[in-house]
Amino acid sequence: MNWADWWATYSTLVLSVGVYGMMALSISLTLSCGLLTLANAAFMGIGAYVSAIATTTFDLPFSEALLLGTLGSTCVALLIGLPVLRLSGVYLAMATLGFGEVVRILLLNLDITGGPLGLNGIPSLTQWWHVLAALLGTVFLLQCLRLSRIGRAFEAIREDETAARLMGISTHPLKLLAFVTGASIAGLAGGLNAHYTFTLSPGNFGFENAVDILTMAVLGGIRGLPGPLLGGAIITLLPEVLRDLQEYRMAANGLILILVVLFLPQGLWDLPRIRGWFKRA
Amino acid sequence: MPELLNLTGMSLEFGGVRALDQVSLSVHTGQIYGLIGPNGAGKTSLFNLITGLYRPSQGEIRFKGDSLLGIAPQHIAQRGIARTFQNIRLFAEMTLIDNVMVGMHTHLAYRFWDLLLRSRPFRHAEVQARKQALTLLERVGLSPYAHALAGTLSYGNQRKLEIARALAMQPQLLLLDEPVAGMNPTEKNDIQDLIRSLRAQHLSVLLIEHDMRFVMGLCDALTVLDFGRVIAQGSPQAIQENPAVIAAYLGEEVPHAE
Repeated sequence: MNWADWWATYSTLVLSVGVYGMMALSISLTLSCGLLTLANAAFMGIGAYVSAIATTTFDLPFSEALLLGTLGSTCVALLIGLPVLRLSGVYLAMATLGFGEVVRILLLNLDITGGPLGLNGIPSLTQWWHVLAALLGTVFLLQCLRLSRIGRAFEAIREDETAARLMGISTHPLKLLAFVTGASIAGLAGGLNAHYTFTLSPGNFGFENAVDILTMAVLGGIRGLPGPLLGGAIITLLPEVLRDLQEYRMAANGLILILVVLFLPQGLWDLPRIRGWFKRA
Repeated sequence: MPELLNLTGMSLEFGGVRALDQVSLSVHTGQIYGLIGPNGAGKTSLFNLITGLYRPSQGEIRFKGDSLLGIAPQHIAQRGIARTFQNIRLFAEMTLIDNVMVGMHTHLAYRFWDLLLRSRPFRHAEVQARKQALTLLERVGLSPYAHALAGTLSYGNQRKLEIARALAMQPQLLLLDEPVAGMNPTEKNDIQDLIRSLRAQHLSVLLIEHDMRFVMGLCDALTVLDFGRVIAQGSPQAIQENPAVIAAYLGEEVPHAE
């Protein structure tokens, strides 16, 4: 099989590895502040629908469509984040999950989103280097944050929010920053996703996808940026690798998650633990 | 000496329980002020009031003349009050140096775009902060462990790290909640010297401690709490001779039945 054939067969998969790498990074941002939010799939959906409507209905250029999709999910995240981030723990997870359902049902019932049929015939505009550039940009942004006072403050909030406040850290704006930045990344990922899958349907951005995205970050680990990328790649490629298992694929997914949580609680990318193995060997 | 912190008539109620009852005290600049009393007397509750974690049911707190009532904990911290905790609250999964640098958060004045562009002000501020953090760790004797995780430290060293982290905030008033609990005599002496050196820098310290030798040797003035009430106030000398204090700590002498 030559290169062109290979790419024709697997391009969607390769682009998805990149896009879901971005999604895993986007949720790792809120996880790194100790916030369990499950709205990332919905933000991806908003970005995907807004940019797809921009290119199909309004004939806007791809760059502007991507920008609109990103801005759309960013603005919604600001509005939702202000009240919702007053919650913490399970309550925050439930509220963001509820928001995800609201988005899914809106997509299902609005006319402009094509209702249950979704959007079809979205032009194929996403090139491999668009995804690569967006992914590298995301990694750069998150690395800058990690190596600054903001990244340290995120970690401090995760470790002990009260102690962080008593260090003079205004925790609420920082949590909002993490949440909104995560939503922007998800919105951009959604816009890219829409323009290589040709079709969008409301079901793509529901509960199952939200859990998948969380699984990617947990599987890879959130202690460094390689973790979510690794997790995103594994969860995206797994259905292909396990194709023979057919309907038992989801069960295999679940089993892998249980094993990781039990034996690698910090995820696959856990450098201290990996170094420990080499020392022992 | 100017007055730095002033509490007047502070009361705190949890449901029907009065944790603090009409407590008044004032700490002056450059003073080491001790807060002592039996367990459950309300000492830590008083710290929680000052740092904004609790709201008093009555009374007034003034810091540098301004009221602290109704101000959020992070803003009180930004005004210059730092504290440590009786039940250690470090960021256990972060390195020592990162713990200290979290304390510098509000002093790292670079903008968001500086951070993205990795501009000169950003790099300069980060390098300086790292240096300062190392100096602070050296000051409490923890510089050899700068890159270890805070959670791996011994109990005594965790207390020292808490002090270093609080000092990183460049406070004017430092609240220490049992700073030498669980330390050996040598370590206690080190902490005593450290606190004296802070006084020499005109930093004020309000501390809770059960080790009487430590408190009496260090503090300029004391307040004794018992069941939420002030039972004595004054110099260490006066406190040691106060019959109410002796009674609170040792129990009252019961006249022998004839």
